[in-house]
Amino acid sequence: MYKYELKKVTGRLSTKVTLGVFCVYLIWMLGAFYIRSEVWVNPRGEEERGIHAIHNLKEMKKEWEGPVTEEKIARVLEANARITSDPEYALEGGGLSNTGYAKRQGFADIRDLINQSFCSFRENDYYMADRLGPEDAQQFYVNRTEHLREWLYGEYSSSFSDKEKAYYIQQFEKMEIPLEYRYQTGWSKTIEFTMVVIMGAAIVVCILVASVFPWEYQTGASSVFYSSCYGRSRGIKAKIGAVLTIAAAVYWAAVLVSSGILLAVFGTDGAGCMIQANGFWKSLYNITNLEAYILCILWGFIICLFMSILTAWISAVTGSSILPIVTSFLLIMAPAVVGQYVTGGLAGDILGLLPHQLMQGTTLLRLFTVYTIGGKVVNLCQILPPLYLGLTAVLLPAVYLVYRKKEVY
Amino acid sequence: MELQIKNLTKEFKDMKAVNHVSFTMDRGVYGLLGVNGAGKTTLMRMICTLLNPTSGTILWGGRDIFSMGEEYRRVIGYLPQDFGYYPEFTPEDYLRYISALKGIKPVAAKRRIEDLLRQVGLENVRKKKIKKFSGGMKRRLGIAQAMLNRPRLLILDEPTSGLDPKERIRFRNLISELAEEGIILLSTHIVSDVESIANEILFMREGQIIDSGSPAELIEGISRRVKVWECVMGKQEAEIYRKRYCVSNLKIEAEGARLRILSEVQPCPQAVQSPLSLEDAFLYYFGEKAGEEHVQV
Repeated sequence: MYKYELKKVTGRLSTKVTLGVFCVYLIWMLGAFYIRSEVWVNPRGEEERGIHAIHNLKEMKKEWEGPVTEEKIARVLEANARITSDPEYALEGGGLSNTGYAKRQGFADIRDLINQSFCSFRENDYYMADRLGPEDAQQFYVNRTEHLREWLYGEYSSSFSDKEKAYYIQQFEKMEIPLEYRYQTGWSKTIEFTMVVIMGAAIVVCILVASVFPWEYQTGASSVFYSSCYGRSRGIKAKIGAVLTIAAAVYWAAVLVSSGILLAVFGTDGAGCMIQANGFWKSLYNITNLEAYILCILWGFIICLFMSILTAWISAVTGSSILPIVTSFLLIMAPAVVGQYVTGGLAGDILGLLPHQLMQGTTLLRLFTVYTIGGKVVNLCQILPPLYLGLTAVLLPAVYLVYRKKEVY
Repeated sequence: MELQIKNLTKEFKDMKAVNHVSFTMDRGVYGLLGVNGAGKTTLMRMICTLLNPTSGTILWGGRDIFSMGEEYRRVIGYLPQDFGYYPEFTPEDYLRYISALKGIKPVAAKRRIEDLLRQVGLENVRKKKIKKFSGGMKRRLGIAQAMLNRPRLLILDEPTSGLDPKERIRFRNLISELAEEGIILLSTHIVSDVESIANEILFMREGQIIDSGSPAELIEGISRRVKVWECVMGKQEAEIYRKRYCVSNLKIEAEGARLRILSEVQPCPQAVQSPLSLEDAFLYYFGEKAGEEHVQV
């Protein structure tokens, strides 16, 4: 039964087209925005792309690997100052020439860390490091918690309770220093790309599973199905099994293949480095790149399962395969758009709990959203996965019960 | 084991599709005759537990079929009027899938599928996708799936629609074999399909069983109320008689139009009485909706 339920889905032309479009989309995104976007500027100041460019850039960055001590920060600031002050690399209208930029590529990641450390909590200034000297290095780690305190006790003081403020500071202070720096572009790109894959996989899964149940009505086969011995029991379980299998197969194939490609191209170096050294300077979560990747894909899987069962439930209740696809699509995409305009208050709290959050693991790891429940401060990473696992567990029997009682007119 | 239907009713909004129907079926073939909208399909769907009755009960061996659940559905086979299929499946795939739904073990299912494909004449197209089948082939596949589990209660809704005469004969023979072991209820517009094989005929109109009995009993009962006359006349005159009387058949011959008329009295001097058939009985009950514009009996 289960095998034939899968065959009903995989045999359809619409399934093949959907999967084909998804593959093309992923390959295009990978190639155009994640692999080809990596630029190495050669000593002549010319931009190069491709595998050799990635390799060259990697070799330059590897020279700066090791603990990010205050001494290393001082060396980076020194080297940076030397390049920015050298008239050979200055442009006529101001700014740095490509040859100057080429010199800086090796320590660019650490330079970004310095910018994040020295900018105020909500500021982002690319040129901050150019205004610093080696003597500022000792403030590098101190700044992180200090800026947090200024922000928490400044203009946003009323937005957080004392417990929440204490929680944030405690999390920041837990970060082990010095951070370890490795060439970790593979992990930064892979973790970022999970958002693209997961959202795409969720939409594809919803499209594929939307007709698993209504297909009996659409083909006119429902009479035979429901009048058979197991039509209202094992038959429905086989369909639910097919829904979950399709969700898992599409999701893991997409995630693992795309991650595999990125890590093969950029390398797996830096798996054990803390995410704070990899673009997540203000993250509350003291985890490594590998742990962050695993969390992102597990969250994505949880939400993919939830969306698949939600789609099945909507199709069960409405008897339609179009309505669940539209609903799921809106549930995934709309909050991401609305969230740009609604950030606080009750609406913001509700948005914070919607499914799209678990699809955007990188955003989740950067978010400063916490909830106080029963006097205890909990973050979104502690709330959302169990919430959606629980909802999935509730919807599974709900789908079964809806179909068990179906009538055929 | 018998199927008892007791005071069964099914209401949809303001309409009673099945209206206090009661009858019992024991071993044999039962024909359910009626025009479109009589309630035949609704009745059959309730017997197959696809619809819940508004009131009344259906008992199998004295037990309510809706509380029996799987135990009851294990013994039934159903061919719906609008038989649906999965376009990308082959007949083999389809029958294996239905076998699993019917709880037939794979080894036994394989043997049974072989036999059924041969019996319905689809053994040469077992690997061909169903979407490429003709209407008659799909119907034969539907008959095969209904018989997979050797049902003790077989419900067939318009089973011969789309079948050619040879296939109809083959189907009738198949049904006759099955009837030795169980109950077969089949609905049809084609009287000849049931005339020769049905033990009992049920006429259904507007949700109610208006008459029932063996073909001979029904014919005898109606023959006390109406007679069948045959006469030949000109075409223009035949048109007038068509509007005035219930005409069960009109055939254009060299001498003119030969009419077969249902009437208590002789309709014209040249009319000769002819034996009543079951088709005449059908027309007697359903004349207006059976295609006649004006009926006077």
